[in-house]
Amino acid sequence: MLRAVLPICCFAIVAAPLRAGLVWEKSAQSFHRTPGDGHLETKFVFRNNGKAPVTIRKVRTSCGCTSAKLVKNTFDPGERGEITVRFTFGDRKGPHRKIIAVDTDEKTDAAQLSLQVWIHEPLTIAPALVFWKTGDAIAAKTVQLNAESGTPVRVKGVASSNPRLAAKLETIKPGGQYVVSITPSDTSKKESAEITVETDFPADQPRSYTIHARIKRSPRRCASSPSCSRSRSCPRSSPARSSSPGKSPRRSPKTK
Amino acid sequence: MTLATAQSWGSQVLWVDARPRAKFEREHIPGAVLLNEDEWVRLVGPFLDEWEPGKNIVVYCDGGSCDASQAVVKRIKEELQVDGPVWVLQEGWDAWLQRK
Repeated sequence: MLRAVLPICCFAIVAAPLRAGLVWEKSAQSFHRTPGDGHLETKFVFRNNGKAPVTIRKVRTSCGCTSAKLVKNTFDPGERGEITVRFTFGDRKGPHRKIIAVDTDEKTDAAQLSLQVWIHEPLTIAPALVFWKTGDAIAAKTVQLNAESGTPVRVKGVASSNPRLAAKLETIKPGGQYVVSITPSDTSKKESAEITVETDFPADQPRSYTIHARIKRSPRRCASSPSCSRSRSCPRSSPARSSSPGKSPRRSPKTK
Repeated sequence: MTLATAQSWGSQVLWVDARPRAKFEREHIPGAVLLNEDEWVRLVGPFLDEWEPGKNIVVYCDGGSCDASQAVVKRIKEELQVDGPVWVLQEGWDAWLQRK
C-alpha cells in the first residue's frame, strides 16, 4: 500500500514548487480618482517562486484604454518583476474594472490581474438630455444638478448655444443642488442646443458640463409598424451619416 | 440582439460603434455613428443629432468579450435617458464580419 502511494507523494512535493511560478504581491488593486486626474498608473509586482525560469509570453488588457508594460520577459527563480499598468480615463466616470491577463510558458492558465478604479464625478447631471418632438407643447423641462456628497461645487452659470432653447439656473442649495430649466421658444421645427454649465470646482481648473437639448421631428405614424421598418417609407438616415464602410462619416460623406 | 434581427428593422436602427476612433475610421457598419467613452463629451452631441425618438439603438464593439458596448448602453440609458430601446449587438463587430 505504502509503495503504491509513495511515488504520487514524491511527485507532488517536487512538482508543486515548479507549478508555483509567478506569485503576485497583489493581484487585485482598487483606487478612487476624479476625472481631472486623467489617468492612473500602478504596478503589479510578482516574484518567480518556482525552480525554473518563467517567460511571460503576452500581457493582454480588457480595454484599449488600458496598457501594460513589461521591461523584460524572462525571470529566473527568485527574481522579482513588475508590470506597469496605465488606465487612461478619457471621458469615463463611475466604477471601472479592467482585467490584465498574463500568459506565461508555465502549464497554467493565464494569471488574471484586476484593476478597479472608481472615477468620482463631482457634479451629476440628470438627465443630460432634454428633448421635445415637433408640435409638443411649449413647456420647460428641468435638469437636476447635484454635487457629490462632501464636495461643495458651486454652479456659476449656464449658457445655451441656441437662443431658441433658453436655459435658466435655479439654486436649491448653494454648493450642493441646482436645477436648470430649459424652454423652447417654439417646437415647430427641429432645433439643437448645448447648454454649458460652469462651476467653480476644482479651484485650480474649474470644470464645465454640458446639457443637450433637442427638438426632434415627430416619428411618422408608420414608424412602429414592422412592415414599415423594412420599407423605405419612414424617415431615412441623415446624409451626414456614412453609407460607406471603411470611412469616417464626417471626413468622407460619400454616398453610394 | 442578433445581427439578423437588427438588420430586419431596416432604417429603424441607429447603429452605434463603441470601438476606438481608429478602428471606426478603418471600417464600420454602414450608417453607424461613433460613440465611445474615450471621447464621450465630444461625440455625444453628434450622436444625438442622428438619434430619432423611438428608433432602435444597436451598439457594437469588438466582439463577445468587449465591455465597451455595455458601458455605452448604460450611459445612453442612464445619463441621456433616451426614448426608445437600446441594445447590444451580440458578438459585436465579429458578427458583422462573419455575416455571410
